[in-house]
Amino acid sequence: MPYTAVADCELSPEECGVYADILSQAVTGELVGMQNFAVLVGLYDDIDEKIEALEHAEIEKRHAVTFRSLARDLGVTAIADLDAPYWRRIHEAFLRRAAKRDLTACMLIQELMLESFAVSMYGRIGATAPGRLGRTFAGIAAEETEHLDHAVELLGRDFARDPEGLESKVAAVHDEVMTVLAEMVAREDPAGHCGLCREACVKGSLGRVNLDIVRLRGEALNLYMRSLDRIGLAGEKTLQWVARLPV
Amino acid sequence: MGCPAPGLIRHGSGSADFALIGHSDSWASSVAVMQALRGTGPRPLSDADVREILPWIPPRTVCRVLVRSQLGTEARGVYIDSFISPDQLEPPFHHANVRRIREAADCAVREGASIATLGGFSSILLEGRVELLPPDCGTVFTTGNTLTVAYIVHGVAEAARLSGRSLSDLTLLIVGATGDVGSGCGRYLAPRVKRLLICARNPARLTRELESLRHHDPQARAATEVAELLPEADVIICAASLPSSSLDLSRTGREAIVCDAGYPRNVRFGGEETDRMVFSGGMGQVKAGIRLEPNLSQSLSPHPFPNIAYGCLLEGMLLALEKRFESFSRGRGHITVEKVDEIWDLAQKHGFDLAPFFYGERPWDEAFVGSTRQVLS
Repeated sequence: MPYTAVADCELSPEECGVYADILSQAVTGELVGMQNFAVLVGLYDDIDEKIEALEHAEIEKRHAVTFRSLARDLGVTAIADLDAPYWRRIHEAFLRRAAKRDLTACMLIQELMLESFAVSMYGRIGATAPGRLGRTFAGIAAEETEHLDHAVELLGRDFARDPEGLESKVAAVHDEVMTVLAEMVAREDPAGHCGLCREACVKGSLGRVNLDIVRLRGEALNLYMRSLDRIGLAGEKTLQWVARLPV
Repeated sequence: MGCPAPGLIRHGSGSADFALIGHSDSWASSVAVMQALRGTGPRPLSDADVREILPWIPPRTVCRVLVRSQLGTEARGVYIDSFISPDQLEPPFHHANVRRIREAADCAVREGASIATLGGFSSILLEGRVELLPPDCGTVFTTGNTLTVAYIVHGVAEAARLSGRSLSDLTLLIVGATGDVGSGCGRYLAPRVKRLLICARNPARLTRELESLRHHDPQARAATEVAELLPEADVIICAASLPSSSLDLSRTGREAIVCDAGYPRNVRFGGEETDRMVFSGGMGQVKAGIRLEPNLSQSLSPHPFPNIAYGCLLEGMLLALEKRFESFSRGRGHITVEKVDEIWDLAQKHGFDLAPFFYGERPWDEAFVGSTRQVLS
């Protein structure tokens, strides 16, 4: 089988297949992010905040478009399916909080939990994938880091004002959303097929591109816990939350 | 960054009086802690699950600690786990482990702890150099090794008494004799035993240690191989910095008293320990009690008696009760007889007694002690 040239590197068909599934997750995740920020545009009263949410939605859209173009270069299709089971559950959780105009919970879901996973996983793929593929993931990870840092700063202020209130809110959102994310990155899919992998679950094939799900999950949870630490939440609380996640 | 920024977090009544920095010494212990935190709802964690999760957990406070003195006073603190993997204590992981200890120390600072103590391998990794930890930040660091030594030396004396003998008639072997704890035990016990034997891996350090002890015991002898010294030993203190239980003492005599003060435990037996006078050394029992929130007592302190803790951790609690926020134990080789006596007196004052004798889950009951005395007589 011929190798596929991606601008400045060549990949085997097996490697292309793995990256196709990874890109499907990335494209769908970015589009969910885009939708989430678009919902926030209607929720904010302040014009500057509306504009900022719209800009964030635009950034997420641009990331999705970039990932799709990478897939095209690879000669594969990145599946974009907003109804893919895990992603749908996350978006529905976001919508439930948005319906209650709970902007803090929305920020926790999109900018803390999803971004922690995105920053960590894109960063790891950026460090291992060759050429433009790797550089693109690394670049997007850097942009998402800014979103994460911004959210940590705002949530830190919320925590300083009302520690118990924010702690109970994070606990509730964590149970709902981090459970889904933990299922997504568990060694086996506890809730069935993710709806985005073309065939069998890609997790077992990640070794073909020097990745492995245990490390990806570990690094993502590490960044998530460090982000919670930076907000000010007590280590023993956040450890209990993480210990209860699906494995 | 493992913990919140200063000023953001103050749980309970305010800043912690003390912080205890530790780590699990076995995967079984790690699983127990993680499972206790997980609770009974979700699927129980397997050993393999925890091996995959634990290395990624940043150092952090795991529980709040309340310790009471028999005088009625109390001190509040935190237990901070550095989450060093139990099977990664060897030199290849040194830098990563030191980084974790420093992060754990940052946690102690951010908790506002006035004093922090370094449990298990934490002080070994730093070689007692508490100056490597955050300076001038309101938290002082102590290795806790002086109280560990106090519990060891009083423990072997008591074990000898229980067996109907006196230390002054016995030959003592110290394994790990050039370490901070081992050398402290040597200095304290050299004038109190019939003869001293010392063992350590580094020949140069061992020679220096032997020279320094010879003015107490001109007959003192040293060897780098423990097997050379074992046949002569009546009492053995194991205080080596071993990453796993690898010291084979199965060939020691039935009459030998073995104090295993390592963390992780030094000694490996093949089942014959059940009739040996071997005990977990360097441990104390707090008469008035220690309370953990969440209650991880069974997981963090899985001993056959309540309120048991390692001397290194108890030293931090003791100094907090005394409001003596100072680096009481620091560096290697600075544990003096006077300091051991001083911390022992403080321990007695607050009811931090020598822990009852046990090894693993087996306590020394009266029947065991009686049968041992019979064998010896």
